[in-house]
Amino acid sequence: MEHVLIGLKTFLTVQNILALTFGQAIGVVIGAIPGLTVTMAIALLLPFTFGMPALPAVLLLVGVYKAGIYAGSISAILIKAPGTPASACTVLDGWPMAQQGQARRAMDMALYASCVADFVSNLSLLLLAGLIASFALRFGPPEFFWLIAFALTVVTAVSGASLLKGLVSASLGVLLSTVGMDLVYGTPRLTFGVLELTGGLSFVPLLIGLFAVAEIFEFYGREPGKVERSRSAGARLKWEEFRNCLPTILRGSVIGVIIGAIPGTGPAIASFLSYAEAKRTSKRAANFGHGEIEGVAASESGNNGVAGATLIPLLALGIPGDVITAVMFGAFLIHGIDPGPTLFTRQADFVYALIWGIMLSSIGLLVLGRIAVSAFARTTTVPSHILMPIVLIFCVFGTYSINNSTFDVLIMLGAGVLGYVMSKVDMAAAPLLIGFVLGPIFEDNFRRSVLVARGDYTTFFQGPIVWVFIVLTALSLIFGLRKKNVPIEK
Amino acid sequence: MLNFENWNVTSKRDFLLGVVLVILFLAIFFWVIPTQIPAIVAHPLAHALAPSFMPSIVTLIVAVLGFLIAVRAWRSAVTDAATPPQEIVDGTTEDWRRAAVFRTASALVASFAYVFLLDAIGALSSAVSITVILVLLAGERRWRTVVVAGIVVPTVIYLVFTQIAAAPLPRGITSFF
Repeated sequence: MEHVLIGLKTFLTVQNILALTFGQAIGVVIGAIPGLTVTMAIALLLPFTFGMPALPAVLLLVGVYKAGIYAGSISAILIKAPGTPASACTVLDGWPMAQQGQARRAMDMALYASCVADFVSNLSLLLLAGLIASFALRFGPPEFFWLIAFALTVVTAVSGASLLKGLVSASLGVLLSTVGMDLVYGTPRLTFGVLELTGGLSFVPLLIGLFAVAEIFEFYGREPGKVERSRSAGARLKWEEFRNCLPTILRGSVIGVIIGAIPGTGPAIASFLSYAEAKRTSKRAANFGHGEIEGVAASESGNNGVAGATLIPLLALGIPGDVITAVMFGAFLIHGIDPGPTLFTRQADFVYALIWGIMLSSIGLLVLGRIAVSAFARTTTVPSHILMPIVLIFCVFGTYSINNSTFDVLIMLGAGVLGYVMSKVDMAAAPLLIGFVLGPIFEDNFRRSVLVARGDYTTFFQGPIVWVFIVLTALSLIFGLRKKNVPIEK
Repeated sequence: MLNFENWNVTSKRDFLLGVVLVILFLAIFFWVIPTQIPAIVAHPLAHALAPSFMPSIVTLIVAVLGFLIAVRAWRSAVTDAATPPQEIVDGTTEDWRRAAVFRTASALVASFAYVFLLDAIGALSSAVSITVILVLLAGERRWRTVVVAGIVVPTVIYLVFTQIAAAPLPRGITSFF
């Protein structure tokens, strides 16, 4: 308790608060621009922190990370181009809401759901770091395999009218994810001798192409003069609407915390799981995918629930859970902080000051988010025929900036054509993304389990965690298929 | 024999989709995977599954799903044929359909040309060109709007990326900028 109070005192300096706020402001801008990733922003800012003391330096980077995850929802809602992969799921209901003139409600809900989830996630970091870290450590390849199998059942919730086509879409995603180097043997797979493909297909170009670029092509296929989207941001979110969605937000936050604490997962998985669970339990399940505000709440609470929890394995175990936390791990080391089990005893004041900063960042996110929502809402007044070419420029510049690669931009355009064709045959694009994200983890853990168990397939049925996820997978499949509004086929 | 004349648009489209999926993914299974994924024989890691394991399984799954989609579309068409057909009036004309196809195809070609020219003429020049083309393609004819949307906005976006986000976009012929 003493360390907690000293931590608060250590945090409350002008320099720390300014660093955190500055980081969040950058995170909001970067996150809202499609293609500019949070990882890139952190990597670019890292050299600027070299001359700073450790605490404000780390707070600045944490601010970028947390605000960036939230801000991806802004462009996902307004222009159907998720600013970050974490917001891919927000497109499903956020974009239809914007088309119906309810962009402001969607953005408000995204902000408030993000702030609540962020706070819950931070609270779990403060109170349950040790407990959650020890739980996450019990995950071996078979546990991961079943966790991902459970996550793959989300496909039933986002397949639209046809489950068969949703499964085709998801399988296509898995197949595309196998392009590149094989992780076990180190041999190239489906690269056709193209050097750029040996590293595999990048997620962000695929994401931007499937949603934003496909929408641009679709725009030019619509009848001229027809109103394609509303040119008003609409009314603000009402308190009753937020209150009605609060159970969904809290559930999404908890899902985010659990997923975030397990290294190697990520916010995109959490948001899709949260969305599927919200759809399963909602009275308005049939409206999901057509502009349901609860869908936006579920997605955003899921991905922001990860933000604080993903620091649990980093701080408590010294294990970075994803690319962003891996970059932050490097930042910690540069500033003389050695994350791991002894961090809480050796540098307790620093850790608790950091956690206080992270806790209070939820308030900063709320303030900056409100400013951002008001500013970005103005884009709804731009007519579609002017907006679409501008979106294309953002997509191309953003995608190019990831790896300074024209090949990535070509992949993005190819994904745009694929997304356009898929929309013409009524095939949902979201399952493809799920397959693409989960495919490599699914395959890798399946093959590793078999390898470690020397070909003994009973390894997939041993241990309590494995059985928990087997039951969850079976239940999720049964509920998903039986749900009246998700028919197997029209 | 299949008689497509009495089939509705959805059944016809889904049947063709199913057939295309079956043919395409069987071709991937029998031709692409064997040629593009090296076969691993008698590797010391005897229990490791081959690199082609997952792609093969997924490809077969899609082929089976494609078959099911085609069968469902065929059954649906047969059921529909038993009920009297309903006239569907969607209020669209052949003229605008043709215009829509032209606009979409033009946008596609222009977008790919844009990307292919990105390195050669630079991000700024190509962005200005594609924006002007797309804005005009969408029917905008007010020159002030075309100038602002086609020249000013891409220039501002370019400066944001290069000067603020420090993204090294290709300069091409505008290397002086």
